[in-house]
Amino acid sequence: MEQLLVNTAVAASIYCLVAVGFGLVYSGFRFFHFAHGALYVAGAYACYAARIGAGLPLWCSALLGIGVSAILGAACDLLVYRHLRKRRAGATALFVASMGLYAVIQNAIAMIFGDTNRTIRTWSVVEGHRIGDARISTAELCIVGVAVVLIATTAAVLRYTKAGIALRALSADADLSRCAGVDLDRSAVLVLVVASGLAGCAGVLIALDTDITPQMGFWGLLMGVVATIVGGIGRPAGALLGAVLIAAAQQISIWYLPSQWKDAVAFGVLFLALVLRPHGLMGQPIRKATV
Amino acid sequence: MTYAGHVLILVGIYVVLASSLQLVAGYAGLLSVSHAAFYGIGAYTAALLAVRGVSEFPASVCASYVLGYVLGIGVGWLTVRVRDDYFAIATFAFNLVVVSVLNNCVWVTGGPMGVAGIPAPRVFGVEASSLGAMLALVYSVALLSLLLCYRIARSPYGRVLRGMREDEVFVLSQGRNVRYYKLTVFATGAAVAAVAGCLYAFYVKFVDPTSFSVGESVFLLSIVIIGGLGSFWGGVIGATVGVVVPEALRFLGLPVAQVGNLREIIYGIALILMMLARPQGLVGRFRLDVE
Amino acid sequence: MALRCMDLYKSFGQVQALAGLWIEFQPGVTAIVGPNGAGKTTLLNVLTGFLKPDRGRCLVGARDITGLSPDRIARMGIARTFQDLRLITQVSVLENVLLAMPPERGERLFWALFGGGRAASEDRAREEARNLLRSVGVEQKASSLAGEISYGQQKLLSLACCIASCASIVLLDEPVAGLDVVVASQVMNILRRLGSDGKVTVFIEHDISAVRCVADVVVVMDEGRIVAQGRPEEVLTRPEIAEVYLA
Repeated sequence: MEQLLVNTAVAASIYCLVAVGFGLVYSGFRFFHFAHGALYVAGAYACYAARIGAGLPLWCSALLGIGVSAILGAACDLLVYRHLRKRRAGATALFVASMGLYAVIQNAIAMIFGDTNRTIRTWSVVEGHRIGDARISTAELCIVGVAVVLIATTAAVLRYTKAGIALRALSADADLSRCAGVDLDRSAVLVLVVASGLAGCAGVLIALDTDITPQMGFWGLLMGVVATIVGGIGRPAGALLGAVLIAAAQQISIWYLPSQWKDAVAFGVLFLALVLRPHGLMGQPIRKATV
Repeated sequence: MTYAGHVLILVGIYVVLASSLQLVAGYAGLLSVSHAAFYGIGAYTAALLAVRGVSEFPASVCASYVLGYVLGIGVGWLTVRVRDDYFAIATFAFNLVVVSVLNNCVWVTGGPMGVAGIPAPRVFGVEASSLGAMLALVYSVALLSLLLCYRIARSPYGRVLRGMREDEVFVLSQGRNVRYYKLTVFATGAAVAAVAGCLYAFYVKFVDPTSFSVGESVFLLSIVIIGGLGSFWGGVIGATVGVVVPEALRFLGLPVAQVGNLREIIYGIALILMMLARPQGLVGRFRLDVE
Repeated sequence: MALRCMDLYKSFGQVQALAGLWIEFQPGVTAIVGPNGAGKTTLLNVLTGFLKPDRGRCLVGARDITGLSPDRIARMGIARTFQDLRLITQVSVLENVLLAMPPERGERLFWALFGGGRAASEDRAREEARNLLRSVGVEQKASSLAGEISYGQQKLLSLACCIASCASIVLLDEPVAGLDVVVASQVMNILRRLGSDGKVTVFIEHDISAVRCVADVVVVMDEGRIVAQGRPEEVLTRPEIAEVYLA
């Protein structure tokens, strides 16, 4: 039982970090930032390159990983999204461009590092610490700890800082916020930097726990997206709830199904959410609201 | 000569894929990131039937088509009910799950090793193992697939699709059941993609999960968008360029895996440029950026 | 065939858009007026199935249409326009009208693929569509994209779509808003024609002169309720109405 809680906490931490970032971009700018998954991978690989390639210390590599993701995220906005916004392109065009960005980033990583698994775990496998009946490794403790700190910080920033309030205003009503003086372009870069940094951090953290491959971006993206949908868009609390729900569903399912099916379980949760959950989703087949 | 034949066969298969995705994404505006999943389902259906002795081409095609259609209705029922962004997410999730199932159901699908040793297709008892025979099969299917697109585009059904892709509310207010249109077009596209999978299985004589990943779905969507949405020739052009460009890259002397990555990068960049400069694609009739 | 609403309630969070609305629309032209936020468009959305009321019922003749999907209601012979002028801008004007005409067999996938004799019925439909466009005055733009014609022509097109659907009940949301005098009078002529053809023609409007010109009955709404109804010359001259709603 306790092991279940521990595993859930670890998985939920990763999902939540990805979900919060994804949710920030969606709530502020109302489009499916597909490339978010690639930034998750980028963080992991940048950390790998620094640690294994250049031999830098782990903490340094981690920060580098987060930094690279953040910069790539900013680049996505400055090079692509900003120009599409200026042309008043809709969410669909942004989504398609985002898919293109994903393809470029993930495949660039695959070209440089190859498709096979890589690992930054240069330490030997230790038994880990005990919490009640459960075991948790140092890396896993780190994951949960860092995630909690970052998510709490993000929530605080959203609530109390000027930038955070501006973002929440944007998410409520973009046109009105613009009239009120919110600088859309600056907010966009800021949001992308923060979201990508969080995603990159999730990538770095997962690298501490398992092998990394360029393909993992899709799964990271999916988990983040599902957590956002299940939990509700835009609030870190919602992303946390969603992440915990999916992680829990997966861990519980391992009792009954072979563990390879746990990804399918996430998919099942997504569909349940799409079918049942009205809030944050348009349950009706109507695309736009009729006013 | 055999190399030219090989390229022609690939173009034929991709024409089937592109034209079926043109139906779903171009005519109906449903940007599905799951087309490769149905492609894979058809391929595995044909492969598994063939290695068990059923290698009659018409039978395989029917089996693939029916399975593709039924699954298309099922997935469609779950996914078309929600707004565009969520539809993309849901189809993307479905693709991931299909890949996961293909990788994990080792006893049925051979897992990551796939299914090898697929025999040549038989048409009414005659084995079609020569290049010429394969070309004939592929192009018969390709022509039928194009004919299907053409008929649908010029029909009143196609007219409703065109209306629906821009404004569902308008179409609903004119008494058309949008859900019916979305389901039927999605299922038809899925079924034809499955038939393309059938062709692939018989030609390559080997199927494994990596050919049907989300990356492939994104690639398929890219070639249709770049070729041009909503246009009959858009799919054909997209397919031709989509096959010829990677083959041309082969001559650069890169290792095979890297060619795949470079292909995706080129298409990713092309997609971004299209959204920025020419949202209707090369010859398309539908602009993605108009909201 | 009358269109009736009984005790309709609809709220959006804290906002009570419809608060116990009872109304019956008869054949002829009825205008709905009232301040912004009175619930006029909400009423239209509830009647056409785009919103479900919290309470209450809507009936067409004896049939209960409450909570039916918009396409089912449309097929029962109820057509509408939208305040923000929904049209398919990336296809031609003619295609918009064809889309509005009653559903035909070729719109089912099976018949689209395997039905023969398409050409003749399609030509007939196009001919009919052209006639319709001629009757509203935009036939010359039949092959233009609906997004490329003027605003006035778009409004006339949306009216053509209502007529094309052969609906017996037509609900219009601000049909003359934003139009110059010429096009506005064309629109009003069409409304009058619809009314005299025996259709239940209901339109929401802020332009009181249009209302006086065309409507047989005026209904005044405020805060989700009917405040007054009757003949225009009677209702619109009542001091309390004139002061509060028409100032």
